[in-house]
Amino acid sequence: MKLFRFKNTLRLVPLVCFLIFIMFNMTPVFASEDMAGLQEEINALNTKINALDNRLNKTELHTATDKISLGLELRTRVDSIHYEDMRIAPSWLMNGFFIDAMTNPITGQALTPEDIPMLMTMMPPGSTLQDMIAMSGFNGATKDYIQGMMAFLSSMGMTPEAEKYNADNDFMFTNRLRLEMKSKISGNLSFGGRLSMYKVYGDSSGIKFNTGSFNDIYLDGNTTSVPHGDTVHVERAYFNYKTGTDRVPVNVSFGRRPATEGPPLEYKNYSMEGGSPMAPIINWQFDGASLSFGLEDVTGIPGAAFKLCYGVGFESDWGNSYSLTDGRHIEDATFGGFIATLYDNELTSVELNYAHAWDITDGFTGLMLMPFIPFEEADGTYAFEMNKGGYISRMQATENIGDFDLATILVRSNLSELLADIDVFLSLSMSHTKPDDLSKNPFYGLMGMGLLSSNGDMEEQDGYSIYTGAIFPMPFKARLGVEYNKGSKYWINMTGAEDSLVASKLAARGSVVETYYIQPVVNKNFFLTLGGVFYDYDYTGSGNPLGAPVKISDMKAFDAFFPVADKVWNVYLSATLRY
Amino acid sequence: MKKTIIILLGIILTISFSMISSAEEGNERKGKYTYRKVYQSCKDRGEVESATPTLSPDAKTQAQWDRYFEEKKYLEADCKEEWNKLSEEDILNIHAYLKGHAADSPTPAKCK
Repeated sequence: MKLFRFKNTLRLVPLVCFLIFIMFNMTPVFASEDMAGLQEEINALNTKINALDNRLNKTELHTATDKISLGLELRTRVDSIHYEDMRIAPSWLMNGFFIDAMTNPITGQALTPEDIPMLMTMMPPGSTLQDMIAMSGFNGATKDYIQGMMAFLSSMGMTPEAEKYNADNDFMFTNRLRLEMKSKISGNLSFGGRLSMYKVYGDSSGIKFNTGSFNDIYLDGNTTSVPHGDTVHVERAYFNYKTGTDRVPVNVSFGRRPATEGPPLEYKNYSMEGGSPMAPIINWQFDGASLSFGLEDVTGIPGAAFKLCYGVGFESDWGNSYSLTDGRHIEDATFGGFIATLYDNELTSVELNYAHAWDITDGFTGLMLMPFIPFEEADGTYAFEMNKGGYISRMQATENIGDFDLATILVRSNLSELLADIDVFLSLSMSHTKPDDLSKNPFYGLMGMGLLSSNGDMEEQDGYSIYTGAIFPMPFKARLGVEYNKGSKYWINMTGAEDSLVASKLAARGSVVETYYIQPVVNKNFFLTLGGVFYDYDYTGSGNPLGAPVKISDMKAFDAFFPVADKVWNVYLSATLRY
Repeated sequence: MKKTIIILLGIILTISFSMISSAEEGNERKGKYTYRKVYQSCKDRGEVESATPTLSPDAKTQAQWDRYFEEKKYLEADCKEEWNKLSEEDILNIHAYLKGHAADSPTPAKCK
């Protein structure tokens, strides 16, 4: 039995050997086929990887040599503007500046204030003030005489009334183009900038007829914020260098500052925060620097940050008639301040902005077309010449008139966690002026104007402003905004670059109401805005640091040598492309 | 009196419209707030040193953010514990915020 089993087992040996032989000889055949297939796949993958590598190399080369990324915004807008009860001095009074003043018939000298009663007695019975001015105007008179005449008429209750009229600009179209520039040079160095063009349809003259508003002057502070034609200007260009520690990041920046359209104007503009100083006090193109510190990690307060800012509003020793001369020296007008983010958890924020202006001047360098040119002659008399040739004037500052302080606190909140996606904001602002000299400009000097003062008065003044609004989401992703602001008699700020064809609403010494409806058409790339603004001015000179504000209801002709707005309606419709 | 009633009615209608309008997909404002809360909680827990999110909206393009959320890559990043606690609505809101301010959006944004 055992022998039988052994013989049977022995018969299996060849079979096993054969199978082993087959395994070792056939396996390479199977392995080589798999390997070949795998190799083919590997080769195919390598080909694809090489192709991807080539494509990536091209993209990397493109990215590395495309040093600036560009974004664009193009806005076309139509405005309808209506001025009610504009005030202006009567034309016969204005013409009086071009009528030669008499000389004293006895002394042969220029008239003095003491000669005014004599002048009155020389008039035929029944003569009016208009007749008297027609006989003896102000051309060639001394400042003392002109000021004396104004004071005399005021004391006698004979100051002529300002005339009222309405003015309409039914439709005015504008185009504004912005090219945003960004460049990330390294992890801690970047560049930001914006080129802008803003023009009125059918106008590229660049220079306006001066009607007494900052908007009428081509200034460094408003080159792209007020329509000046199809010239492209550099609105902002600055670098950011990030340093500091992980707990306190520090950012240093120099250049032409992103100082326009700061918070809370982003709601109306349907954009992110557009700039750095708070819009209620500063909305002005200027060159300068900033130094900011991120303090969230060291304070534990969400969003806490502190930023120091500096800017130059007027450079005295460049391009002016007195630059680098031995004589009376005008100081540069400079600004400095800080912006403190007291709290910001991305839904609610509280920010404080303070700024001090040193050596504010009675004007900035700028270009405009003056309707008439006043001269102060060497003998102290004034000459007035109508600008019949339409000559452009380069305005320059003639005196430092004082310092002022501006401050604002802004609270913003989104109510999506409490109620709905509604944004609300409130800004409380104050200004304090400290005059120290009167203007030496022939026209402003004639009126004895200084920092928020006239007739030679130089008193410190405080002003206040409130700005508030709410923005509601509407169907079809639209937004409805309602805003209100009010400024006091002596309210002053630096918002001449605000986006308004009438005047800065946030500079108003009076009340302004604005509503707007924003309707996206193609996401946020293309949207329409329909809005309306109503200005109700209480006092003259909104936004102008020169001259004492006068209550509009009380103003006389001498307060209205340039047109003064009382109530203004501005309705607008715009289409904006942003990409 | 009539004027007061009309003004009050106007306010009520406006707020009602707002509440209806708010119930749309992906609320960017809520998304911004929630995104920050994720990293604030993560920082409080000690996983990260700063409450500033590691990825700013402008770190990616809109298409890249779509892929990021489709593939749930946020679960592979920092602060997984906080991301896991978020609801679908929270994720949607954060997605809307990041995509709305992506590098190629009209309003690219960087976390402060």
